[in-house]
Amino acid sequence: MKKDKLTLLLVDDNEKFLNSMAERARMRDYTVLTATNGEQALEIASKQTVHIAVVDQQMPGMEGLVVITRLKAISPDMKTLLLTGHGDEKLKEATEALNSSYFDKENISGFWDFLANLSLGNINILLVDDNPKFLRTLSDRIKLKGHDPLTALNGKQALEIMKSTRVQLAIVDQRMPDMDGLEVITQLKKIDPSIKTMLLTGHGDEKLKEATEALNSAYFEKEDMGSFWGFFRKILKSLETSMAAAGMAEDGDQEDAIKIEDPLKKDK
Amino acid sequence: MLNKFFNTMNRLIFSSMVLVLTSPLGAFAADQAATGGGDKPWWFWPSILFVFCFVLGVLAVMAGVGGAVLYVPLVSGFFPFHIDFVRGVGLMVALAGALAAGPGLLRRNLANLRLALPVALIASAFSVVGAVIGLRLSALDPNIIQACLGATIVGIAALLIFSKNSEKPVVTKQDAIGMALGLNGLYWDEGARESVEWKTHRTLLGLFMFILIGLLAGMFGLGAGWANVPVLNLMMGVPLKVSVATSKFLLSITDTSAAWIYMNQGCVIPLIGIPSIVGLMLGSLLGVKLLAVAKPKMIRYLVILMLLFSGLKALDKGLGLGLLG
Repeated sequence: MKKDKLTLLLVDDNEKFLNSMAERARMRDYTVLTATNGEQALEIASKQTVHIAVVDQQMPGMEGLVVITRLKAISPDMKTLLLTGHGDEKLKEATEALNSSYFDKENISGFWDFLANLSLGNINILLVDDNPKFLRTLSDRIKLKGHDPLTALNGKQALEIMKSTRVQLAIVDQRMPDMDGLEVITQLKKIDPSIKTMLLTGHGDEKLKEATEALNSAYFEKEDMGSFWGFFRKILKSLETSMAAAGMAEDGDQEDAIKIEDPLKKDK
Repeated sequence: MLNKFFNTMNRLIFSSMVLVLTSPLGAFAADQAATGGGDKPWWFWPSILFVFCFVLGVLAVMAGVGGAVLYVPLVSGFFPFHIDFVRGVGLMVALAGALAAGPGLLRRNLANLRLALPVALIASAFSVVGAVIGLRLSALDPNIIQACLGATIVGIAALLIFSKNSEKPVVTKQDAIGMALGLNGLYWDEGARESVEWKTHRTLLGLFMFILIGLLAGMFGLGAGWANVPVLNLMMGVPLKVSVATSKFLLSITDTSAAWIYMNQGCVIPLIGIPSIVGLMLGSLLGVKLLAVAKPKMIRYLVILMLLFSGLKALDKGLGLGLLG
C-alpha cells in the first residue's frame, strides 16, 4: 500500500523510549523522524511534510498538547496522537477537542494496530451536528471502525474544514442554528461535487426526504439510531457503578466506594 | 443545596429507622406468628418488609455492614416468618447484592479473579454442606439454629467493632502455595498516583478458613463479606480494596451454590424475597448517594449495636431463656 510514503514524527524526551519506538516504526515501513523536545519537532515539521506526529505529553519545556496545537497550525492535515503514561479524562477531552487522538502508554501493545488503522483510513469523514454530545457519540462509534472523523458544530465550521481538508463523506444534521443541513450539503457539494453526503434528522418528514434525495444525498432518521436505547444503557451503566460502590461500602471499604460512585469528588 | 437535601434525607431515614425498630411491631409480629399470620391481607407483611428493607439497605451501605448480615437476625427477630425462610431469602439478598456489584467491580479491575476462584471453590463446596446441615438442624429443632445464629451474630458484632482492616498490609515473603496459585497482583492507587503490588502469605491457613466461612455462609444465609474481608485482608495480606471487591465477587459464587439447596427445599418464598431484595437494592442505591455526601461514623456504631442486640435476642430465643422478652 502507500504505507512506505508515510512519514512519522516521534516526539519524546525519553531517548530510550524514542529509539525503541523509532526502531519498531521502521520495521513497519514508516519513514521515521525523531525529536526530543517540542521546538525540535516544530522545526522538523516546518521543513518537511509529516503525516503523523506521535507526541509525548510530559516533556520539559513545551508539553505535548501545546506541541500538537502548534503542529496543527503548521499543517492542519497532519494526524496527531498524544501519548501519555498517566490516564486522565480531562487530558483526553482536551486532546479530542484539538481533533487529535489519544493513547495511553500502558496500552502500548495496541498502539501499532491503532496507528495502522489511522494511516490506512485515508477516508476523511466530517460530522456536523450542533449537539456536542451526539457528535461525540457518533464520532466514537466511527472511531471504533478505525476512522478518525472531523467534527463541526455548525454549518460554518463545516465549510471551513471542507476548504482546508479533503473530505470524502459528510454526515450532516438537519436542524442547526446557523444554516440547515440541506443547505450545508448543497454548499459542501459546491466545494467538492464528489463528496458523499448523508442527512440526519430527528424530525422525519417526507418532503425533506425527497429534497435530500434530489441532492443525491442519503437520509437517516435519528430515531433509528436508538436514542432510547442509548438512554437505557446510560441508566444501566450508572446503576452498575452505584451497585459496585454499594458492594464496596457494605463490606467496609467506604473510601473506595465513594471514589467509584463519584470519581470527581476529590477534585471538588 | 443538594447537600442540605441529603442531610435532611439522612435525618429522615434515621428517624424512620428508629421508628420502625422501636414501634410495637416486634411484639406485634410475635403475636401474629403465634396466630399464624392473623387477619391481615396478603400484602401487609410484604409492604412492611419492603419499607424495612429499604431502610436496612441505606444503613448497610452507610455503616459498612453487609445487608444480609443485618437482614437475617433483624427480620427473623421482628417478622413472623420461619427462620428457614428468612435464611433462604437472606442468601438471595446477599446473592443479589453480589451479582449487582460484580460486573462493575470486575470492569474496574478491582476484584481479582485468580484470588477469587480457588477460594470460591472451597467456600462454595462447603456452603452446600453448610446449607444441608443448617436445614437438617432446623428440621430437628429450629431453636438450635436460632441459638447458633445468635452466637454467630454476636461474634460478627464483636468482629466489626474490634478488627481493624489494614489498607495496604505488608507481606515480606510470599509463601509457596500463594506463589503456585499465582495469588498476586497490581493495582493503580489513584490517591498516591502509583501502582501497588501485592502478594499473599499464610495462604494455606487462609484457604482453610474458607472452609469455615463456607459452612457459616450456607448455614445462616448471612452472606460472608464480614468473614471474607478479614481473612483476605488481615490473614492473607491482600490490600483492603482488592479484598473487599474480591469478597463481593466471591459471594456471587459461594451463595449461588447454597441458594440451590434452599430453593430445592422450598425455602425461598417470592412474597418474602421480592420485597426484601428490591427494598435492599433501592436502599443501597440511596445509601451510596448519601455516602458520597456525608459519612457519619455514628451510624456504624449504632448499627453494630443493633446487630449485637438482635444477636443476643436470637440467642435468648434459641436457648429459651426469655431474658429479652
